[in-house]
Amino acid sequence: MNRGGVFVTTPRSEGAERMPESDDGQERGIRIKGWEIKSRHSSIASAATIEQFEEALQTSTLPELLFSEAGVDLKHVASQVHFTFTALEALKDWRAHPLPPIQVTVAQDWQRERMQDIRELGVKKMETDWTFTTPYAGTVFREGCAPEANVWRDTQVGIDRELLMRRDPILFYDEFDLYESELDDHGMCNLTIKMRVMPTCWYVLMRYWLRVDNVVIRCNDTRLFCAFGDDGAPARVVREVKHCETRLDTARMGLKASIDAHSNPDQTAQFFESIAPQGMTLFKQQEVVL
Amino acid sequence: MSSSSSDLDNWISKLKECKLLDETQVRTLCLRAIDILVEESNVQTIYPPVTICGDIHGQFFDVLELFKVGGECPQKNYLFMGDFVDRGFYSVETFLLLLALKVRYPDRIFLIRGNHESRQITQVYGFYDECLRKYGTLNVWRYCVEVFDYLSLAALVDGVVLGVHGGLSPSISTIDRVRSIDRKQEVPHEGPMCDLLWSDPEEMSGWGLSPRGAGYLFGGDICKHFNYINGLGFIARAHQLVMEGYKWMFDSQLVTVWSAPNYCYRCGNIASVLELDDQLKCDFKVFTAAPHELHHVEMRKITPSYFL
Repeated sequence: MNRGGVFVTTPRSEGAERMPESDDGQERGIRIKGWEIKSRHSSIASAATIEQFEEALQTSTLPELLFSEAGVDLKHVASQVHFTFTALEALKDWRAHPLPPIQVTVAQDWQRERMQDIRELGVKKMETDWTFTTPYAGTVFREGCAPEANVWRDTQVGIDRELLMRRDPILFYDEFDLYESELDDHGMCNLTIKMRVMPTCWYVLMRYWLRVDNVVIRCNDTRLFCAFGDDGAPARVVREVKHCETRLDTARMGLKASIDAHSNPDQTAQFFESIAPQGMTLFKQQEVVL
Repeated sequence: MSSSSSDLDNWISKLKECKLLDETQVRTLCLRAIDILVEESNVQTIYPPVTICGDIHGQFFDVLELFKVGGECPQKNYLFMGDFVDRGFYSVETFLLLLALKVRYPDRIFLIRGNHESRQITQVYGFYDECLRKYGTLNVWRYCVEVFDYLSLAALVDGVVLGVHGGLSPSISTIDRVRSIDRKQEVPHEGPMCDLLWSDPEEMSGWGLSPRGAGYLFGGDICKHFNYINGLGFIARAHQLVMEGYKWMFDSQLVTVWSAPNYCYRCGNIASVLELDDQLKCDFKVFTAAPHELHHVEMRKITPSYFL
């Protein structure tokens, strides 16, 4: 398995230090400017863990690649406030905000031919959103307390992209999946994390990506950003949430070309950027000051 | 079509080194395979002992590991339940090796069709692109998908263990019904052939329609009834990834076998094969990813980027 977190430069040189690796080697972290930032990788869930998830989520439909132990934890040491991303929390939001199930292109043909069987056998139509589309945008909680949903306030001052574009050394970098599904060979979806810690800031991108062949593409991005201030100054964390969706125009492109054009999340995200604001269904810019 | 068993032995050793056959050799091999497969029934009759394998998805070195763990063919009999290609990096070598073994030892190794053995699916999930990349033309892909159409749909071990890629179909109440399917075609959307390759067991009663709008789910009662009617001990199927390599359901009336360790080079799952001895006693042999496949994990090593 991949191990968590790549250190790019010696963190100490930038007033940062490595945190001790977990015993299984899957968790790594960095301490910097009043933050403890950790990432954790995981293999897919065992049968026992799947049972726990099924119980917690009250469903037997789960992504077949469920990296149950993986996650990000950004802890603001002074306030004891954590910002986390995990598969379980993401799937809780998937359950809490159910979307009507998308029908694959062959659905009509498939059902038409079997109409009689479906009626006579009393076939139960399952209603779960099998794409695992989630509005999850991370979890916030104070150590020892329950997650708080309403800490975020709208803001006009967004993420400092100029700072992020500077080629400062990357002190800590990671990318991994929280979950993924092959959608039973009807496309692909995944929920991925990318994170980097710089001498001046930290930045996390969580992206839910979906392609249902011949049908639809989706990209739900959550960006979390914090520029380090002076010692003792309050920390301001900015969150940007953007959801995009559009039908796949396979009639024009052909199936193979449309799949090649959307074979990974980055391609789809770039595509949505190129047609923006078309396709955008949600945009929020928020902050929390600690 | 002149190729002797010594040609075949040469091809098998070449393939075992993960080397490609040239296009003409692939053509010959595929034509000979078709000659054999066309004679096979939709439901293969197999006598134990036999080792039953699930999805392998082009993870070539893991297949070599599988033979190491399960015993080499032809010393051991094998049933592979489909999904030989796509996803992994060596679909060509993997499928051709199994096919060469099939042609060389037709009574020792049995291949049945998975939903990935299809023109449409392979165009999306890797095999098509891999053929194009490795040969520069699509001929090899064409020869192979032609073979797919001749693969049988199920296998019956000693009359009591049914092997199938996906699962059951409401239009199939007896195994004889499977025998009457005209299988020599691309996997259709309609009919029982599609269901055998695509359906999934589900902890429920009765039949379910997948939320995708296509694909059946079958409950424990359906499975038990089918087994009872047909005098089966249990059904062995593949098609779904399971972390532990195998998973029993419905009071041991059905087992899912998965034979691709560390699937897609990052799942960290265990793989298994199910060995049935001549008394049909079950022994799962589990294994993890072969060291050779692990270098793809290294290939996926994270490169820091200034992503926005």
